[in-house]
Amino acid sequence: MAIIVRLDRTMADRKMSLKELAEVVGITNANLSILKTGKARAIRFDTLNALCKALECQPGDLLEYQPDDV
Amino acid sequence: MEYLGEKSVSSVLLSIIRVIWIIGLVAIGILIFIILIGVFKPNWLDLVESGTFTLNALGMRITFTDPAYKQLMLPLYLRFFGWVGLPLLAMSLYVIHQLKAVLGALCRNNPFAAENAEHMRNIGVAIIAWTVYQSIAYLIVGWYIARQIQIAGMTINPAFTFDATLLFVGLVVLVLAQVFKVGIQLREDQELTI
Repeated sequence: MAIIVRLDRTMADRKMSLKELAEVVGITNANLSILKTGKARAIRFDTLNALCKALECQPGDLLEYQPDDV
Repeated sequence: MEYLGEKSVSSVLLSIIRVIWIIGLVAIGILIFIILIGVFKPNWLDLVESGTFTLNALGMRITFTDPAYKQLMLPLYLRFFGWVGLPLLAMSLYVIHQLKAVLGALCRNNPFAAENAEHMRNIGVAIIAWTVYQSIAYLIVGWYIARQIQIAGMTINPAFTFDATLLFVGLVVLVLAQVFKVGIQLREDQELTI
C-alpha cells in the first residue's frame, strides 16, 4: 500500500495511548488498532476529522505517501 | 418468513439436504456393493433378478423376455453402473456437500462468509461437468448397447442427448458465485473502513 498511516508517531509525540485516543475519537480499540497497523482499507472523513481534533494535527501528519517501488 | 438464520427457509433446506446426503452415501455404498458383486460373484445377481430384463427409456419400459438378453445385458448394466452411475452419483454428492456448507453459512446468518463464493463456484463447475459427462457417457453406453442388441425389424441407434437446462443452471450458479465474491469483497471493505 502506498499510503502509510503514521498514527503511532503522532500518538507518541502527543504521549497518548491507544485506549485514550479510542475513547476521545469514539471508535473501538480494535478499529483504531487496525488503522494503526495499516490494515485498514479506507478511512472516513469523520474519523480523520476526529483524529486530527484529538491529536491537534493535520491529515498530512497522520498519512504519508510512499511509492510502491521504493 | 425468515430466509436466513436458525429457524428459517435455509435451515429447512439444510435439514432436507442433510437427509439427501445420507441417502446419497447409502446409495453410493449399495452401488459399489453391486459393482463388486458383479465383478467377483456375477451369478449372485441371478438370485435377485427375474428371468426377464427391463430397459427404461423415454417413458417406455422395454422388457426382454428371452433369458439370453439377460445374460447379455447384465454385464452391460454393471459396466453402466461402474462407468456412468458411480461418477454421476459422486458428482451429485459433491454438489450436495458444497450446498450443505453454503446453507450452513446461511443458517449462521453469514451469507458473505469468505468460503461461500468458493463453494458456489465448485457447485457451478460440478453441475457443468455433470452435464457434459452425462451426455458423453450416455452416448457411449447407447452406442455400446445398440451394437449388442439386434432384433429383426427394429433398429436401435445411439442418440446424443444434452441437458441444456442443467448447463444453464450451472452457468447461472457460476455467475452467482462471482456476485458472492464481489459481495464478500464489499463486506471486507466495509469492515476495514474505519
